[in-house]
Amino acid sequence: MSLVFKALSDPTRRRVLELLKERPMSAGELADRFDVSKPTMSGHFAVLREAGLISSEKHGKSVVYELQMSVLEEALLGFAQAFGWTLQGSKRKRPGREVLSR
Amino acid sequence: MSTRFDRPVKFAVSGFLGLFLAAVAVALASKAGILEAATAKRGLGAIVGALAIVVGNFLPKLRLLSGDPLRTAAAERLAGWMLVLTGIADIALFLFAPLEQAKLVAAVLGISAMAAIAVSWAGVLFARSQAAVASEKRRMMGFLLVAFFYVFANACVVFLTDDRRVRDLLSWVNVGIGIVFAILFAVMTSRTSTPRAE
Repeated sequence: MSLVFKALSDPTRRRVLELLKERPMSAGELADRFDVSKPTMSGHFAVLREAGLISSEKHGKSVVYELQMSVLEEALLGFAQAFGWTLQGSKRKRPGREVLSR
Repeated sequence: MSTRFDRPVKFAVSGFLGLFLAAVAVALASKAGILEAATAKRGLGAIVGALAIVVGNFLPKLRLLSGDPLRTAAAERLAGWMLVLTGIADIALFLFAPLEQAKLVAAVLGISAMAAIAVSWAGVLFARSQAAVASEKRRMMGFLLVAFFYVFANACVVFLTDDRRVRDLLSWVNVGIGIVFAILFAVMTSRTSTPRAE
């Protein structure tokens, strides 16, 4: 469960989950929507995958990510979004472009 | 070897089995006179609610449906939320409402949730293209029909008969069916749950 809390504590990762709620997306598509480097995005994907919140599938050269959240995890995501959870002592991460443009 | 996909399945199956054993323990305690009949009924009702929460919580993770990813994910999430909310309502009813009303409202809620899930899943299956595998559609419809008849038969017996022997027999038949399904589910998922490509 701590992996899930860790994964949900970051606003970029929460935004990735929100985007995947709309439809499965490739790593490139997701990375294009954020102002962070690709290795950083790969790190975020790895944390989400480790927590079991997303699954990945290879389609040719690209990796497509799909949401794989339980009801409790979805509710936790809603709470995290509403109250803006961040890990204690962690630096504030730069949110994605879409968040900045709001 | 445990994989990221296996973890939720194992957790769900152990939660299901744990609650199931708790239900059997409450039933046996009631038979032995350790628990009052009304308390045992409330306990069993709350355990059934907890079972619905466990199953509903993990349902969207298991990806049981195949077809259009958006529609299947939406149908699975809807089913998960409906079962979890029904379970929470069941627990609240059996803990706080008068027993007779709790039984009636919980039964109506449960059957309504099952019917809504069946309709939404049937919609997903029939929306699939002709190229989709027809045998899988038949298999899913078979599962839905079995689930429907099982719930319908139980509801009919519970609502229509007050014969204690018939109700006792039904309880033990349900215990047997539950154990068989849990074992079958555990065996099937241990054979088929392979991690997706990373």
